[in-house]
Amino acid sequence: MTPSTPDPDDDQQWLDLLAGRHVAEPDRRTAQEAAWMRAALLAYRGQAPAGVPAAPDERMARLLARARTAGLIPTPKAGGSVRASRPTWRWSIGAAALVATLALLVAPWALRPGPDPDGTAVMRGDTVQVRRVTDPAADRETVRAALQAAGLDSVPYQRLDRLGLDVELPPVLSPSQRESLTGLGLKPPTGPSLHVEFMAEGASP
Amino acid sequence: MQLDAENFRQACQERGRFIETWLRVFDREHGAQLYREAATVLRDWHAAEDVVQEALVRAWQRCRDFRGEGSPLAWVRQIVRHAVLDRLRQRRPEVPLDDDEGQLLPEVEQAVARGALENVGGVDRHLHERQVEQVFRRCFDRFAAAHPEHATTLRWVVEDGLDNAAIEQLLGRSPGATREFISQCRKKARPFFTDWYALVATDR
Repeated sequence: MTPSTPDPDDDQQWLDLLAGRHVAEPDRRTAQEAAWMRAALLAYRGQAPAGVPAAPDERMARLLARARTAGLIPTPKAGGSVRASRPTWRWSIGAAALVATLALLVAPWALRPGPDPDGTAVMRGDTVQVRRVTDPAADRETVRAALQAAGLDSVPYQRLDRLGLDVELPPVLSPSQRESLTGLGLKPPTGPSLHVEFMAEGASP
Repeated sequence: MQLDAENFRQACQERGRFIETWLRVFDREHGAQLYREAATVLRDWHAAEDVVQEALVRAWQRCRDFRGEGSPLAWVRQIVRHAVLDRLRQRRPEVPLDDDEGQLLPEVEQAVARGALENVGGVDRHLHERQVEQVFRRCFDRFAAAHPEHATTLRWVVEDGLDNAAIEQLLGRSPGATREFISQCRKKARPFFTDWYALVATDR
């Protein structure tokens, strides 16, 4: 078979198909070529490089420093915070007392165990969720495989003897991905990251 | 605080603390994803942070260019992506590795054509799929090493459905030059994916 010669129209069809747009009666081979590439790039998302990203607060501090240098945001004046705090310290004490009182009132309700589809997951906010299981290592592999099947890549980690998964989330979870998370007893988070940690049943947190 | 067009325009006008608040919310809600995307392309967390932050500052320096016709998040993201591609261009000139005629080998082309007609089969699918993934990643890495701008754009086309107009803006090219770039993407990619096409085709 003689290799085909790409032409601009064919390349445009190829691009549209890659992007997931409908193309009326595309060339069969172009459609196949684009379909394979699209499927692969969607299935095999780019992997983050080795190493650890900067902590968010450090990263933010550097960003604000750059913004100050560029004159976008003001530089804090020396002593400014002291002057600003003088008129409000009584309010601060009052607010702290109010928060403490509310915390005491709300704590009994907040500490009650929440609904848990399979009896294993415990929420620690959206981004860190803990599964209490009999075999953390095996459960982590099971969860990782289930997430991968749903198109969610995850990176295993171990921190202070606790096994975990750093799950990469797309900007918008598909219904099937949300369903997969829920099926694993995990709450679909609102943010872009999710850490799942695995603890042996009976182990102290 | 909602990162919508109204708040963006207000922050652009008032500046100072408004921009700081916007940056803090933006970083909290979208920072991780943005830095990860840049790091994935640049293969370096430090370089990613540098490029993203430089682009964010630049975006706010020219915030009056935002016309409010879409989401300011998309506008900012496009500026960041543009900066990522700029960094890729600065790193190294493009050096074609193969003959780069942009053609599929005849046997691979036959397999592609055959695959268009036949259904998927296979005995040990799981093992085969892992192998296919490994080969694809290797092919893509080689492609990205030789033609980083084309490979990155190709990935964003698939992931975000970029059309010609979006690619034009991203690359800062004319419509004609963008069409040529698209053709080049396909042509340059083909030789690098020969192994993968062949492997996928064996399963057809």
